[in-house]
Amino acid sequence: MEEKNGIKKVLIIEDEPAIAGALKEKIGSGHGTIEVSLAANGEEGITAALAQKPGLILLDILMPKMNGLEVLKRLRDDAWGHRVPIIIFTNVEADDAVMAQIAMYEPSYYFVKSDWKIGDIVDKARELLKI
Amino acid sequence: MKKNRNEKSVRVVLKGDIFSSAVNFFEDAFIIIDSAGAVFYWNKAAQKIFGYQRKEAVGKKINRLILPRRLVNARPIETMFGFGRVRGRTLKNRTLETPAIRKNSAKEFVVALSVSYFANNGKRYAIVAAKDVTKTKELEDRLLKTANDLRKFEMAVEGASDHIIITDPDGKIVFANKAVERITGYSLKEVIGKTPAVWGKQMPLDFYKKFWKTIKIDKKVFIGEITNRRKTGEIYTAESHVAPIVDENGHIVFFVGIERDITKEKEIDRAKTEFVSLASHQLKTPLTIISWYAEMLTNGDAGKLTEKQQKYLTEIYLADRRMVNLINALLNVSRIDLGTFSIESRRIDLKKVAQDALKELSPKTTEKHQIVSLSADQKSAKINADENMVRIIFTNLISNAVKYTPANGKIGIGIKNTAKGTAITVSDTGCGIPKNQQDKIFTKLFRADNARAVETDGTGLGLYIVRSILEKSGGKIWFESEEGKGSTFHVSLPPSGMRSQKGTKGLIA
Repeated sequence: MEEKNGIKKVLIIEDEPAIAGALKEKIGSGHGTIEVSLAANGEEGITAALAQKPGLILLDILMPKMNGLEVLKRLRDDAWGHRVPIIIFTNVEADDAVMAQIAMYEPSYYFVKSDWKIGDIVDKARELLKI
Repeated sequence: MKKNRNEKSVRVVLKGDIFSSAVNFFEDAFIIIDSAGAVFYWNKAAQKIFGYQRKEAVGKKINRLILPRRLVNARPIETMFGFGRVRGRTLKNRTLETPAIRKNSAKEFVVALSVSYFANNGKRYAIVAAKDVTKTKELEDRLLKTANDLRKFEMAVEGASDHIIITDPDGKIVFANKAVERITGYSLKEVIGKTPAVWGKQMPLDFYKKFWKTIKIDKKVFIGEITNRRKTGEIYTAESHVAPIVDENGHIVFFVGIERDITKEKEIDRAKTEFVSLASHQLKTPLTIISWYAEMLTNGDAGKLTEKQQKYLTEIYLADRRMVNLINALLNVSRIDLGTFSIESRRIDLKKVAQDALKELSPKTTEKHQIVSLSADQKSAKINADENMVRIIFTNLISNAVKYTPANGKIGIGIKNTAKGTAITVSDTGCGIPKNQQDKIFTKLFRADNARAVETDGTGLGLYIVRSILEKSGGKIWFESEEGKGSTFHVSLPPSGMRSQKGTKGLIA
């Protein structure tokens, strides 16, 4: 994890601006210095992740250009990315087969967005960032 | 005078012992008439068939005695018996079938008349042998009908859109209809005498073992989905029903196999599932946005709110939750109806799941001042079950109890383990289920009238989902209820717990 002057970086890969915006707002506010950046699809996400090497990635599954599962796979194949904490959050009720695949790449958490309060997701994020 | 003598000489013949006893022995009516149609002789069988005693019949016109009234004028003696056309001694024998009646009865039956002629002293007579052929006629008609029916059956089977085959006890095909050719792509010549392996053999060996055991050893109907292969190599899915036909000794005479190509239906099912999951995603994303922003506002992230603003936001938030729950219920129903949901049974703590469900509902029970009790013996705590499913069962049964029980009412949850399995009860002192609607309570989308009156919010899907889970996992659900007094729902699971099931997705708790 690259950490300068105690600034922790979080990358949110999510195509829905209102969702990404709320998360950015919530995670970025409060105590601790957190720098949140956004990527609007999987392709942008993987590029940003490898360039910024954030301390935590929040990853949506259903996205244009490259889906979250593919992003997850590529990150886990990367020397840096295979250990970065990743929170998967989606509104798709994935097949058991897809879930098994996701589980294989060991994300830190799997959330179904509509079932969770944003506060709970933020708490988990902060926990993973050790704030 | 001369005439009298003639008649006498005929009568003498007829009175001869041998003749008379012989004629009376006939099962057929034996009647002699003169050329005017008047009865001259009438044997016992004639009495039996037509109901007239000899005394009553002799001298009467035969057509008036035996024909239905409607035919008497239409069938004069000349046309019936042809005396008029007889020339000299060359009298021809003839037979005819006609409707007839008995004395004092209008019920018609069919008689076959064989007529032969003779002349005596220049007078002409006819011997009429009459036989009641109603039964024969009926039999003939029945045979004809059977033949027609058989032909119809044959045509129906031949032309049916489902693939139908008949095989001998060894599975060799003795009959195949046109749909077999159409669906498998093999001609009748290529399949008759062979086994269905011609287009089959695509399933695992275990499947066929089970298949043959069902139909040949257990002698039961096999119903299942089966993957086959057309002559072109194309794989297709068929719903297969194979029935053993056994004789009175229980020996298998042949097998009847019916298959329906459901490849298209399967595709539609897949498209439907995809649509449902996509639609649910599209619906859930805006609902997530609404709830998250409501939450942020409530949290004061955008500044302090007035009490009224807080209250309004809570309403927005709760309505949003309702929508999410409805979508989840609909998703569950679609998975149940497609039969694609998976059950993953593992060791879980029943009591803990019940407590979790109660905790989630505690704001409601507190608000209504309901007295809630949970009793569980330690032993029953751990069983094999799918945690999500158990959560769905508890959440639905308990939230129903909370919803339909008035303030200060009682709700009891019991969990018990016996040798027979696990028994769960959820009882309440609520509005109950009206007697005339109790049989519909597990039907999809059904809500009892009094339930609607008490609570407008409700999908009518909860109990349907609960029952479907239990049916699929080897459990049972039933209830006792009295309107105005309350309901008790019973759930039982076998000692082995919930039966696991492979599927594409689990259900959403």
